[in-house]
Amino acid sequence: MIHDPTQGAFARALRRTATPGRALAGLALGVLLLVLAGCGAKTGSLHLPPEDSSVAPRVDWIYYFVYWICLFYLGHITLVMLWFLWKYRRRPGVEPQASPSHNTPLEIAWSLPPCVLVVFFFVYGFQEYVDISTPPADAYKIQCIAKQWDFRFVYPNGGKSKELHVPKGEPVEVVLESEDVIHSFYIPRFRIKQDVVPGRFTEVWFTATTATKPGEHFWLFCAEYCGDSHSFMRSKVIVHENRADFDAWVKALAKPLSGEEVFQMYCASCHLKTEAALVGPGLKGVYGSKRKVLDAETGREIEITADEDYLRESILEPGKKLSRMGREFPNVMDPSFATKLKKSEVDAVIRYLRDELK
Amino acid sequence: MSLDSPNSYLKKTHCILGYKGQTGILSYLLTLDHKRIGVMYLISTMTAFLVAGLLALGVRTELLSPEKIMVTPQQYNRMFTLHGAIMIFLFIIPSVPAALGNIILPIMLGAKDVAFPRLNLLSYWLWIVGAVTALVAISQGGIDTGWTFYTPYSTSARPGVIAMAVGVFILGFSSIFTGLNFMVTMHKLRPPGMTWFRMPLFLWALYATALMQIIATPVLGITVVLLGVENIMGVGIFDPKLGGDPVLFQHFFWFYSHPAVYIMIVPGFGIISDVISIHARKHIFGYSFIAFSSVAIAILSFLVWGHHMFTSGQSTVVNVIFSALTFTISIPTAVKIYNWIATLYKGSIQFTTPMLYALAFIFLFTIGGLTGFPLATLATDVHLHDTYFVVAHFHYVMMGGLVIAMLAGLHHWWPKFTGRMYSETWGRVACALIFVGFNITFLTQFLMGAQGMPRRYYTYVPEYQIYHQTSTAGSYVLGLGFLVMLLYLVHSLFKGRPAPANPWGGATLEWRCSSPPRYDNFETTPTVGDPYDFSDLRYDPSIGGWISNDAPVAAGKAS
Repeated sequence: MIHDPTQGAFARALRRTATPGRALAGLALGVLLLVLAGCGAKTGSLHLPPEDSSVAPRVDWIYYFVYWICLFYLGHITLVMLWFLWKYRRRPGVEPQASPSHNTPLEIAWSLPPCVLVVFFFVYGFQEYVDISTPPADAYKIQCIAKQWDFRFVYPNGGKSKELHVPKGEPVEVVLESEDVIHSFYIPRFRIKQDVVPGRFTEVWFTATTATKPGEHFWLFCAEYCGDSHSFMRSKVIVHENRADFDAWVKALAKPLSGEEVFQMYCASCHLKTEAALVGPGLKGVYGSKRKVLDAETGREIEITADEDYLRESILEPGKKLSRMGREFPNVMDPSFATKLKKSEVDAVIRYLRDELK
Repeated sequence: MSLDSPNSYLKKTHCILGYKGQTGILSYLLTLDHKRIGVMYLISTMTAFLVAGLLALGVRTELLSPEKIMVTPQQYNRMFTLHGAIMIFLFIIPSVPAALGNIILPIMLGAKDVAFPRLNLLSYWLWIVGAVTALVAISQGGIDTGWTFYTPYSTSARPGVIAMAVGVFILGFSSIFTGLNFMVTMHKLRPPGMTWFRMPLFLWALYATALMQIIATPVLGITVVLLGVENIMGVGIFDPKLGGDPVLFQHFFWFYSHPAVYIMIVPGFGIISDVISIHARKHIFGYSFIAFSSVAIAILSFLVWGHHMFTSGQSTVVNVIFSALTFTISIPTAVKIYNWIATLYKGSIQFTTPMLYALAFIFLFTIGGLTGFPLATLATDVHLHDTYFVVAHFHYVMMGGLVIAMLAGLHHWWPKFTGRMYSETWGRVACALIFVGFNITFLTQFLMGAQGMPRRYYTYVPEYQIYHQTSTAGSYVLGLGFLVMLLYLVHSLFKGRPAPANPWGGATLEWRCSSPPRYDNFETTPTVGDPYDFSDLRYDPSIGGWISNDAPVAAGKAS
């Protein structure tokens, strides 16, 4: 009594070579092999990046604990299913056999282990989380200001940087604030993440356990969607080998910034050092050139020479004359540079545009 | 009011203009017939699925390289926003309840229609109005906020968000009306003999879904009103510049959207329960557990919304509570899997297309469910939150779960409401392509996410490129699978073999009326027994379908 609507050579061939059972079995095996490879630690594994903070090994331990139990569940569910699919496949002369349609002891028996296991998941995850979210009282404090679309760090001596520098082996607390929308502070290799919410301060802390080699760094990503250039909103984390190195670096920060440093910190997320446009026009060769701009007062397009006065005005009052070089640029530049930048920094960046980006 | 009398209300008002046996377009657009309304929902939601699916392929193609391939960051952000918003609001939420539910629910009950046919038509048109409003707002307003519309980004930068919210508000009413309609129908129109515990499990699932739709959706409306009040009157609610709190928006949003996740998946559970039982010719195992667990999930789903916000800055205590509550909801969900597998035991399993989808569902949904554990566990969620791990997790639940269940249901009931059989061979090919393509696409994303790749990224650092390329390759296989499905389903409408009344051997009532059903479904109200007792059915090769042992061709004088 078999109802089998498939006919034809193609269908038969397909059934011979690719029964659903075999396809599933192949896939299950593939998944298993894929995941068996997943147990490294210091060097990173198939699953997780290297562990470079004090919490990372403990978080990873919980991850693998949950993972192996989940894999056990997926494995036995799949295998039992495949076994039944094979054993009880419909074939001529074989009718379904009677068996109870419920069995309370059995149903309780298979409900209990998951109930117990999730208690372990919960408790381990909760204990570790309390550690992750409670900064030690003696942590070194760095302030982080996030805005569309970069992070900026302020150290206790008032020095500022675009990259996060920290010493190895010491707890560091980063106090986060946002100037505009919600961002998120995420360092995968430290296993930490914290949203940066406008209107309140949030904190995140970590102890880096690996120093970055010269020229290398860890990535810091913005993990909460924040607009056009969200995916460009990333920074570098540099871990100094010891506190003395780090202190020397912080001390050097207090010096006035050079024009290039000002450019890197405040301009480079929207303006390239070439002629190509990003969010705003590229700035190579801008100094002294003839520019088409939109005069906000008259609403007309005019041509001006990009001299010192024009550049200063463009930095301090960005909407006044909008570039029309090649295309129309939206008026999205931060209007608060007049208060954010010192006069010496504005001078320095204009000198940089004049002398270096000719 | 009498639905049973030969000259009934329904027969006279098959169409809002009066039933004259019309088949024209107006007889569809103004119909009061639940099957036609269901078919219109099906066409509308599947169109939404097609559009959103193509957008997804666009997103995946752009991600082949961290450099620009075809769109700018701004266009990319709009693309993934449209993909998410259309999939969630226009496809996943209405697909099973409104489309398949409308077609099948009254027939499963042996009823002639839902309790309120006019309200049903209103729901559909509200859906259309809401969908058009939302789509115009998104495309004209350049909305690029993601489907979650987090403030203050959404309100500060994009005035179109309010118009979009109005569209979602209207869609919400469509959803509430459908829920009410179904609930009343199940209370009042069950046939003689169908006690609550003789309802097919698909109906239990739709009942649980209706409950959530009615309770949760108003919160979405409230959120939208608050957004409007803030925007128009300048009252600080969500915007920190006015003294509001952006995290409050997340609470409101997830208080609706988390139950909505279950509004999406619970109807899928119902389909799978019915499909597995029928295609294995075996009584469903643990009926009452499955029925109660749907309702338990519906209730618990209101208590776990905070698990979307573990890194949002809400207090540690709150996070710990939400983590614990989240684990409780995993138990009824997980144990259902055992019930389905136990149903296979000693059965007679036929690998038809609907069954293949149901089996694929078990595998994929198990992965989707299990990967929820590292996300509910606080310490690991901190690392995994807002990465591709989450993207993969919810695609395994939503697509590997609900969409695959929906396809199981679509193939299961397709012969019933179209009256045509599709090609089983091509059905299996498409299922295999979708299964393989899906796993390549999204298993890769688990690894990529655990390695730290954040979601909603237009560009990325080079270490992630190999994952993105693999995932994109998988998505093309997936797309091919859906293309094959579209072709053979459309082909079946014109060239398919006429379907018998009961092609799979189902014991629920919808298999007792003809395929397709007459417009009032049944001549006389049928009486029912156990929906999962198949002993009364035998296969009749001459019609290619199953018939009752004692009544040769029961109520189903096929076509």
